[in-house]
Amino acid sequence: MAPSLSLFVYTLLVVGTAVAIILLSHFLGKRPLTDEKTIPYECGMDPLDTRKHRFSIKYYIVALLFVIFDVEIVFIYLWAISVRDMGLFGLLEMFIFVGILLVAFVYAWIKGGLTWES
Amino acid sequence: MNFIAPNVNIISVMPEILLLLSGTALLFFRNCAGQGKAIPGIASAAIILQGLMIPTLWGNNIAGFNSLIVRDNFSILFQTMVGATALLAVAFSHYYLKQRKVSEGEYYALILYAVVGMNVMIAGRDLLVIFLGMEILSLSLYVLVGFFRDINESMEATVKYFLLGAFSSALFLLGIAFFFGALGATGIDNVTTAIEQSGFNIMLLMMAAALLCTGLGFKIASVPFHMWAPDTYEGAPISVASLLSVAPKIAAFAVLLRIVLAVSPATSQVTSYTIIAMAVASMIIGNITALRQTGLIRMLAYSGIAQVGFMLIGLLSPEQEGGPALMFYLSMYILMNMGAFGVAIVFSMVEGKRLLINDLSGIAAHRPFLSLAMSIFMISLAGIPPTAGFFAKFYIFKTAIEAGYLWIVVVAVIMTVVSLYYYFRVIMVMYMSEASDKLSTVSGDVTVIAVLLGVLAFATILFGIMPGSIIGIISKALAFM
Repeated sequence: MAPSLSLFVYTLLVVGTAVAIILLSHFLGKRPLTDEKTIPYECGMDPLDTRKHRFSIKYYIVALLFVIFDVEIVFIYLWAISVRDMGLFGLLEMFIFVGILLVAFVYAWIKGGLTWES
Repeated sequence: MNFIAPNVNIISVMPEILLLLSGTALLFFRNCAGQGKAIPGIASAAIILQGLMIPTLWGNNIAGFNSLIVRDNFSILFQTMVGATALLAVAFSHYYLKQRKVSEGEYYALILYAVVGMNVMIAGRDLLVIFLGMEILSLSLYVLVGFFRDINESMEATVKYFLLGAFSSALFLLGIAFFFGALGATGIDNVTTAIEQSGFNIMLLMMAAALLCTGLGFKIASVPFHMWAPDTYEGAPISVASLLSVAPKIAAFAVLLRIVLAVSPATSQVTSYTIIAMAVASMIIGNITALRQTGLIRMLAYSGIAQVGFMLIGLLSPEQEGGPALMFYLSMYILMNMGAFGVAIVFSMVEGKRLLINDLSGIAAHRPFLSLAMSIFMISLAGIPPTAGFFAKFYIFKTAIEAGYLWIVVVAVIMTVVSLYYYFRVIMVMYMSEASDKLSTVSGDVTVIAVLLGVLAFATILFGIMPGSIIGIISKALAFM
């Protein structure tokens, strides 16, 4: 398949999925709409709020830990594509990389970053 | 698809690996018994060890990571300077933390990480690697500045430093983007080849040079990127302020020197105009503002801004004598500025308030040795003959005159005269004022710090009498450039 054609199909799929989800929820969803159902994030926080709202600082640590592993995943995806070509060298590099990230993780663990109740 | 493994050459980053490993070890063992001297001892041992490893690479031009990192003599010399500064900062920190009776926690590990960042900045031959080093350095320093969370000034200082620092990093990154746009590569050495083939976009390269100077101008605290410095130095623990006022400047000047050397043949006058503006503004604003300061650390901060103005003059003729003169100035600046901060740390034991210059009144009667050392550092910062500071300024001015920038030297000399007032006010207050009892009791064991200050003061005078040996080493390091 030509690259432009595959890009076109991809675009159609993306737009189609988005439209389909909106239409499905429009036709299948139960009426009437309550206040809860109309807000953008149904299970999250209120997007329009006073700025005096306080939130638990623990979320911040969880978010940081998430970033550690998110970055790891981004690199592992790319690595996984070319790992066959890289051979032993690539394998060792990934072990070193994961090892370095693990040190950070263990440190967070020891400092009590994973205990929710203090 | 053929995969060619990059030429990592792990020898080239051995000192950094050593620092990272010992820093990480400190993170994990900080809760073990044997607090006190063990942790600063390990930290200084690591810095000394890497300081011993670096000179063994002298003259070999060891390259690593496909020449993204090259340890030439130039970077070895700068890294030795950074290591010496960090060692002094560790010693000062040990005294400071012990007096305040606070837990050291990750403090020393962060200092080691900061040294790694600076080493990477200095040895990096690619702007992205340099940026990486800059971020390692900055992140460590942001935390160190606000290390004691119960001090409000410290929190204010770290927020100011963080916000402005993040902004300047973004500008530096934008500079890299323009650099890439102009040349299609991020390696500094690519400029030379691009000039030969005249295959570059001159406007984009000028933008890149200006933006890179902005990002680094923040790190060296030169006007107009200096506004963070006084507040941050004053709010931070003084031991961190001493590190902050010297070490990042060394690393940033190394990068500036490399960039200016590479870019200035291509961008005609734009780079030198930028540097002239920064130098003259730093000298004038730094010196004039320092006159009005009552706080000792604030005065030292503005004096640091003024000193950076003098150093920037060396960048105007980097390929002739300007480079060596700048390096000589930087190495003398370590001696006198670290010395002045060291004395300030000993004197800073008045509980819960910032140190004013007037607090030093009559201190010479109680502390003759410390006052003498402080006087030597102040005389050297002012640039009076029997000290190292004189020759530092002398070489810089000489190169500027040879390069044809007479008017800048005239401005610089006038500003040196202005600076006499605030440097000598400290000496005058110490020796000629009525003794106030505020600082008469300096508590604790000051042996280590006193010995260090003695060595620094001695070196300041020694290199003021015979600067030739240092100049010889520096010329050898820059011979290839």
